[in-house]
Amino acid sequence: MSKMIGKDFIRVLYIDLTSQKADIQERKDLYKYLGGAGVAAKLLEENMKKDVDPLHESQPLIISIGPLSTIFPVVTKAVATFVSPHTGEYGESHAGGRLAMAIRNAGYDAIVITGKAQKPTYLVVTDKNIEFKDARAMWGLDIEETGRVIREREPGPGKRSIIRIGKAGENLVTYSCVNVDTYRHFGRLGIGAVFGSKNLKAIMIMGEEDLPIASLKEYFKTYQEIYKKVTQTDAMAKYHELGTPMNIKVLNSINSLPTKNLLQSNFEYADDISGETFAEKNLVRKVSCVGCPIGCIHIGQFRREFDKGYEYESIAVSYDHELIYALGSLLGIKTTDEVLQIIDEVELAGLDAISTGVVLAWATEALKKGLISREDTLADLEFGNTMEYVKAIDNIAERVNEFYYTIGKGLKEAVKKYGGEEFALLYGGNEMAGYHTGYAFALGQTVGARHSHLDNAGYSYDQSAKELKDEEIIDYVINEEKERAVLTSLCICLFARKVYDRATILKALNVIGINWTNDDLTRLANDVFFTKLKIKKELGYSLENYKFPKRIFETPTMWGKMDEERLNRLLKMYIERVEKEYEDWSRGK
Amino acid sequence: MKIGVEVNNFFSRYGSRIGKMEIEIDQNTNVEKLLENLNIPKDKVGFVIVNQKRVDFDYVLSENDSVYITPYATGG
Amino acid sequence: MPKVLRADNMNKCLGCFTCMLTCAAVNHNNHNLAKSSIKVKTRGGLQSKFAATICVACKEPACAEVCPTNALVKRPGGGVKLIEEKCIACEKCVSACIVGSIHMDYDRKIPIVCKHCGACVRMCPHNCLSMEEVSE
Repeated sequence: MSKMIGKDFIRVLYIDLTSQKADIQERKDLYKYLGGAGVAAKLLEENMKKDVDPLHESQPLIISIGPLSTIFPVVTKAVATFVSPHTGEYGESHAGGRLAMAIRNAGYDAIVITGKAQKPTYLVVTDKNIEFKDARAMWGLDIEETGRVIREREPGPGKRSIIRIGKAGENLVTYSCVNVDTYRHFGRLGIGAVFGSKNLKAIMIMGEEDLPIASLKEYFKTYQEIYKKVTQTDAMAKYHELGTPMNIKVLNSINSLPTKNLLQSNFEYADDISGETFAEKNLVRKVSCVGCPIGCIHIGQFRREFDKGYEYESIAVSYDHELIYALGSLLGIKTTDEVLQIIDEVELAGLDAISTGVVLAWATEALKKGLISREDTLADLEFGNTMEYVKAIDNIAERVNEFYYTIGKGLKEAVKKYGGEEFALLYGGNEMAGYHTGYAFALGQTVGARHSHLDNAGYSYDQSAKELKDEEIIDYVINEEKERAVLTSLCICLFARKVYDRATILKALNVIGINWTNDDLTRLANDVFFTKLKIKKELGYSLENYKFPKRIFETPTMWGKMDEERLNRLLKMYIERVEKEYEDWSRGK
Repeated sequence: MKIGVEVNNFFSRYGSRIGKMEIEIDQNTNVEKLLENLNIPKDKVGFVIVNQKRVDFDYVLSENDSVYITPYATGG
Repeated sequence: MPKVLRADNMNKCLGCFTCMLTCAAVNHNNHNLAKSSIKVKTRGGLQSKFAATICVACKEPACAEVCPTNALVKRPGGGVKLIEEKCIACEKCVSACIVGSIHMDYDRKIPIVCKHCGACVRMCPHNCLSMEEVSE
């Protein structure tokens, strides 16, 4: 049966790991949510269990793509939703790689996974089959080995996506990630633990589904127009050249680079770990997600001496701004090779890079201040001490003692037991991203639906504003998050947000038979924004009585030190505004 | 008078002068003029940092100032 | 002079698969890159470099030799042209191609054979592919 693009339903594959059964439904009612974040949020809303542990087997895991996925340039993402074991409420994560292409080619728009396998399992989902395969021998293998084993056992090289967890996910660390095709990730909020709790080691997806094109000429013309904008304007060139690592020097020069657990906002060794230095010393190639001609994935290589007698190995890992910050400046690491070494350890264990770095930075200070002891850390955690951090990362993944077990639940839990909340860099319960730019960033990551800097990119407003005005900050944070709800429901990579303005989005949709208007997109933006809020409320989320960590007020941003009273006031203003809009939206339904 | 300038490599695509350099400028040259001299498009500039402080385009430069010209930091 | 496809710069390949998406769309009217003639994959996991499986435009194409119904005809410059009406989907050409360039389209019951049309070359963002002029 051929699956026409532009059909009026969302084709959902339901997989239950307990019964090892699957079901397929054509959901006309979900069509108005288009795909990606929209569809995934709705599916989470209807399948999640309130008042039940996030890692309970009845909880769902959803992955969704959109109608433009893979067939237009830079529409590369898949969106996952789940109940986050890290924050206890709404969990959402985005990943590129080959996943969206594979799901599309298998003939599905969304996948819902529930239940728990009796024993470690990996799923194989193709256009012709759904298999539950024995993964017992893979349990305990790192990300790389797991990928290799599946690659060798299963057919379809070049056309498949393999997503998998490492030890951290198996051990239910609440900030464990799911690796997607080696260089990309569902990174934050603990989706790795959701997999682990279901005894799900990996999923391989591929397909040869017949996907005929309705009107080739119009489609290809629009494809080429967008392709040209992507490759020939400077809208995206920076992502290919140095990539996001160019941010290190920029943020450092304006005192916004979080350094040594935010004791400083610039780093005396910033030039030594800048994007420029990485490119000069370590960059060996660039890779793309499928369907993107830019190639923003920067692979850095370093030599590691593993034994006396000139014994070397070479390691290649992908690096980005967030990693150079969290596993670099935040830990006081002074050379590119050392940063890559720490990244490699985090990758193999299957941990979220940002949260891991922030947790380690906190632990470094907590150790110095005597809140925890050397018996707890089993390592001499000190800023700049790479090998000790490498040890600690393994300890987190393996949860070797009570201390590591506790910090394996994130700083939210760690400070309950050990104190040190003043210097625990948390925003909305999630560890801080790499920008200490000002009020818009601080507010933005706190209130963002998935507590990510990418929810609304507050750091963008902080940098380009001539003056920081309260009303403007609120306006910006809300409107930007709503616009991104459209982009992420269409699974468009946010790097192409300038290419995919409203007009371009509508053109692409129309050319494949989805005749939406600008008003439809605005309606979608609001629906998705407020559906996420509804889910958060149902899961017990509230920002009442929220306290920001003291450290963020002690270290200057590019606008000088932030004032706690003002930030609290901004938060209050935001909540009032959004609650009122939420009321209106709820009544309007 | 002499000043030290570093221009982020990002600007090479506009044909700007990039990298670290010492240049001669006239008295009363402001930042805007400097950008013109270096062929850096104003609208692509994020920040101009002089002696480690952010300045506006109308800032007038002094002898031995240390200038860094950079674009904005964007999402990752 | 006729031209044939070359994939001489695969070291630069980003793995974006735009070539495959283009071939599938333009030559087979399909969004699934499983229909593409050019096939890009890694040499062994994503840590290794990419390789392209393409029609190397044999002057003496083995696929045409084994075709029992003359559905594959030599084209000037090398390679073959598929005459769909004559194809009986016996699949002998698939195994005859030593570099693995031919695979079956089971929806249309024909082999997918490179036309050396150059669409993939035009769309590659990183100059990995080219069209080379060759003698007849």
